[in-house]
Amino acid sequence: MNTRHKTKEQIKTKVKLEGLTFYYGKYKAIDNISMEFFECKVTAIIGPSGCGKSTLIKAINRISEITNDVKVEGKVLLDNKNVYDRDVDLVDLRRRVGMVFQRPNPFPKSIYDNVVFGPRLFGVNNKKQLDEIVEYSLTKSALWNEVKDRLNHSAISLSGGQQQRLCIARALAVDPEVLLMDEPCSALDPTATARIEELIEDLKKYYTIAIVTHNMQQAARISDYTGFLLNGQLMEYNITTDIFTNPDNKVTEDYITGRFG
Amino acid sequence: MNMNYNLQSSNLKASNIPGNASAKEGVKRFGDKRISDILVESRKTNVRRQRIQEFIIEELLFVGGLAAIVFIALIFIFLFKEGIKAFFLIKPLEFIGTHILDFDDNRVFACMWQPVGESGKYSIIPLIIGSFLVALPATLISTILGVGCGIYLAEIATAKIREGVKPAIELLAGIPTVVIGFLCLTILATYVQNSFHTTFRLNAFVGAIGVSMVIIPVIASITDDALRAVPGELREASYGLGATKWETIWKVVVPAGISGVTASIILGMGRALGETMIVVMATGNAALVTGNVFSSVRTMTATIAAELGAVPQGGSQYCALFLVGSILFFITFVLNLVAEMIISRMRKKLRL
Ligand SMILES: Nc1ncnc2c1ncn2[C@@H]1O[C@H](COP(=O)(O)OP(=O)(O)OP(=O)(O)O)[C@@H](O)[C@H]1O
Ligand SMILES: [Mg+2]
Repeated sequence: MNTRHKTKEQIKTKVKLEGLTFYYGKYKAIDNISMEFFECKVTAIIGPSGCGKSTLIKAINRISEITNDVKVEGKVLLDNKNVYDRDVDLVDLRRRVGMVFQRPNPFPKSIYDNVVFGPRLFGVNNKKQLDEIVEYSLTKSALWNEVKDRLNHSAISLSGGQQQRLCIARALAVDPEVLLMDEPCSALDPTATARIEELIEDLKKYYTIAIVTHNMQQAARISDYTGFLLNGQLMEYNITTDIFTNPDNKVTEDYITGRFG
Repeated sequence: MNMNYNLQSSNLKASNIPGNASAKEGVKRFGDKRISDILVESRKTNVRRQRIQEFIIEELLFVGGLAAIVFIALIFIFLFKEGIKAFFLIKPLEFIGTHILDFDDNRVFACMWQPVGESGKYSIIPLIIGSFLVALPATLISTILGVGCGIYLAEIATAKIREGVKPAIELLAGIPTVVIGFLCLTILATYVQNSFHTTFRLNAFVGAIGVSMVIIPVIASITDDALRAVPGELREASYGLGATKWETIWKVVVPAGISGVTASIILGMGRALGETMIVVMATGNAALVTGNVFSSVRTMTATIAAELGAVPQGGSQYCALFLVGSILFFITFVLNLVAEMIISRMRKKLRL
């Protein structure tokens, strides 16, 4: 399953899971998963509902443990440093590993305040710097032209697709290295989805992207690597084209072709 | 064109349409009836009864709602009708104050509530001051403790602790106010006097603490509800950007629920202004014009409670008391209205 042999370009591992097992209480949601996420690549996680996709990507920025009783075995290496080590600074970890959620969840504040929320947390108060961060992040998330004249309007007044791009901008504003996206388009219409997909295509030049999706076409369109999860186990992980044209595993093929279950 | 259309429609025979009743074999039947036939039939007999039921329920709800409005309107009218009479019996200026002779026989303007005898003095100023001198400190104390408690319940307490604490707080709201008043009068007043060395043993501050006991649960409970209505997704987003628990509470959750918190404080203040038994027992009931919270005061509510039962109907004092009641009613009505507006604004803001 070593994908590196299959590609000629020089690629660098950004995040590496080593025997990751994840429990909610006593329930084992992720079972001994090892895989890698590469820099400047999009890795898609697919699998049926409840198989542990969200759990898997949330294990990388350790966000589930805030509200849940969880237990973790194995390692999650970010630049070769285990994020579950005792000396890891969680605030810094979550800055480096940004997250975009299933439903757009802008704060009920102005567009501007949404974007600068992260930088302000870190103590940046210089108005000029914040202004520049806002312009940069909103430009990167392809929203700047639509909102530049109403930055102090409430974020709630935006459309769903715009809100999701705002959430991406908010995540970009802290200059992350990895971007986790948990079904970022599932609450959006096809047009808005297309825009987000274009955006991801552009963002992968700068970030390591992990995206959970229920949409096979979307995974095939935008990802470079795809992992197929079933019942908390990684059934197959490979270059996307291989997964979709020539899967090693019968269940993978069944799932992808919709013959599943 | 026309021809074409006819051709098409002739193809669309009922039996060709998928899902048509006669189309499919193997569906569940009762005799020769399908489930849908039975549903349609039952509905026919059902519909009449349902209409009647719905009609009755609708009318009952309407009458209930109307009755509530009529009641409030009647209270309003009755209060104001009696209150207005005061203006015919007493000169309007006298509700502010009257000229009296001081000890050196100088004429001075004084705000006094001394509704006795021929030359009764009916200044409502000391009563309004008294009410606010109790209500404002009470609101302040309860805001700090109640909002703190609400935040703790909504954001920090584990489910287990919450299950124990929330009913306990609501129990506090159920203690008869006369019991709280009694405790203030006997124990708290002494304690306050000893620690602040006050001239008056019973004063506005003692009353304010007592009243806080009643409104802390109100504020805590509404704050808790308001914060729990803030979507969990906002908390996740905040944590995802590197915020700590405290940063998330102060910068995301509380701002998102601030309208609810504000509304709870305003409602609490309304309760504080309307509270009667505790202030009758704990504030000393001296109608003084003062800004000192450690001075005895006489609130609007205490005045009405203490005097209305003992005055002849229709007299100056009787009508003056109704005027006081009208003012109190008006103030609390406005406070409630403002709170209601703020809450509905929050609903909109959070898309609840
Ligand atoms: N907070 C939690 N507490 C307990 N069990 C949980 C919790 N969150 C998820 N689970 C369980 O862990 C398993 C994996 O959940 P997860 O949310 O990762 O699935 P998913 O693949 O993202 O599903 P979906 O496609 O529906 O989002 C599920 O069986 C779920 O019931
Ligand atoms: Mg999920």
